[in-house]
Amino acid sequence: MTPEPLIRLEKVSKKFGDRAILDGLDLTVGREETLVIIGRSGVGKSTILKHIAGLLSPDAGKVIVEGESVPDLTEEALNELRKKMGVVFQYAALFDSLTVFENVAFRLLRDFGVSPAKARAQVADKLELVGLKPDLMDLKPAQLSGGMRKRVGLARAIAVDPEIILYDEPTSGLDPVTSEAINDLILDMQKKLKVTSVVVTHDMHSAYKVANRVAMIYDGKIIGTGTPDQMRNSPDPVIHQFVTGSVEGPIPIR
Amino acid sequence: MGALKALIEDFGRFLTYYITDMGEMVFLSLRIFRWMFKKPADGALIFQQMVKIGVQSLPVAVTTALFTGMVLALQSGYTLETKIKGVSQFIGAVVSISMVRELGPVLTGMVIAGRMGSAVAAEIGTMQVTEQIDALYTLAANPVKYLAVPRYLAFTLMLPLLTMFADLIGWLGGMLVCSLKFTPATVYIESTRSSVEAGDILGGLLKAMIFGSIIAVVACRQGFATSNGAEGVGRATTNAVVFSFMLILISDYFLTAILTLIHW
Repeated sequence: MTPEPLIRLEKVSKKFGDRAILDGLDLTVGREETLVIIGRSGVGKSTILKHIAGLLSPDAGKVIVEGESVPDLTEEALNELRKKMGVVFQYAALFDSLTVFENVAFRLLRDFGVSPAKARAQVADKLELVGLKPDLMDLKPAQLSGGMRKRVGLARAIAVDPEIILYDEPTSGLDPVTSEAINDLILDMQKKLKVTSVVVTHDMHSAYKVANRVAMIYDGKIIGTGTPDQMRNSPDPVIHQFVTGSVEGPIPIR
Repeated sequence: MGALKALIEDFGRFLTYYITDMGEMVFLSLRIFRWMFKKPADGALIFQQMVKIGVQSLPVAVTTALFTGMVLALQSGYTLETKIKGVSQFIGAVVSISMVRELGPVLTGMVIAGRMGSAVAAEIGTMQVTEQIDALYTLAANPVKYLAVPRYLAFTLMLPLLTMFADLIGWLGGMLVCSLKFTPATVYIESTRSSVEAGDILGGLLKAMIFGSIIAVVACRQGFATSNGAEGVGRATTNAVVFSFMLILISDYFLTAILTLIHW
């Protein structure tokens, strides 16, 4: 059974200067699916997420989310779509002039007209959900560790109960225990909140653990998709080399 | 020949760069105006920036103005007394006219560009390279509205206010030096009263307002255009100050030309 796709990228191409990052890339993500995009550093994994979130426009091709063509949306319509979307950035991208509470409650206070007292209760809930104590609320991001910042970033992304969560390298730079906790969180979000997730990573352990489906990007295209098991046993030499983390193979070591 | 060609090419690149940059700044100004009137109005953010940009800059702006007024009185007193001889009763006119029409707005503009233009470029630039600007977009907050509009309003409203203080303190500094070295304070005051008109002061404040909007647009534009990490933030900060200085001085000439043309 193929679920109806919630996110569809069709023949998307994007160049930065002379460098083609995405080159006719096709990708679909089904409703309530967790798709993990794997690939080497700097090959355009984050670029895919930025296209889905409408932060970048493709040079060619289509980006369709919930039936709407993202690059053609007006800013107002795009903001409406973004209200259903949460983005977890690689380095959390917390606003360092604001407290943890103000970061997580950002949209609640600005767009949803929630009163500060009510927002505090909601923020406490979200912090608990990501495994943080509510007494962190009045700290500034600079006072937190990397793993805590990442969790606050996740709490901010889920603050308004999004239908789609985009994760950019959720486990990079974290110790194995915290990484595992983040993996559990991603699984939890899927189970508890029924969200559709797109996770970008080069951490194969994390990919196997959270994915319903894995897609590998290479040379600006998706060269293969499959369940974690299918990917593990892929006959494709490029995929095989990547998922086994081998130096020998067709992927050039630059 | 080769060297000449390279020189012309360099100049061409320089010109293209600045023309593109100017275009981008005009574009940013238009976006600022468009977002300024959209809800929600960020009253708290605007107030916060007015305090940072205006109130906290008062000590530097006032110190600069004090010594400018004092040195103006010293120089003009010396010139009027020993070079032109016997016209030292005009010191008040020279100091006050120079201060309100020219040095008040220009020096305050430069002090604020150095102090706050750089800070704004560095802050927005850092937000850009750490993906905080992207985060704003994904949280449905337009960065132009959330960051540029409050700063723009704060710079354009606070610069005339700071200039008023600068004018006053500069004038008082001039009076101090004048009364100690040249003529009594009453002569200084009388000379000011008979020469300074409302138009002189208002023209200066109008200039200050325009300088404020220049600093805001330059600093925000440099911040938003930042790339390449810490190095880029450094470059954005420097550019914000250098471009603001140049644009303040260039626009000052043309503003003065227009104001004198309409006898303001």
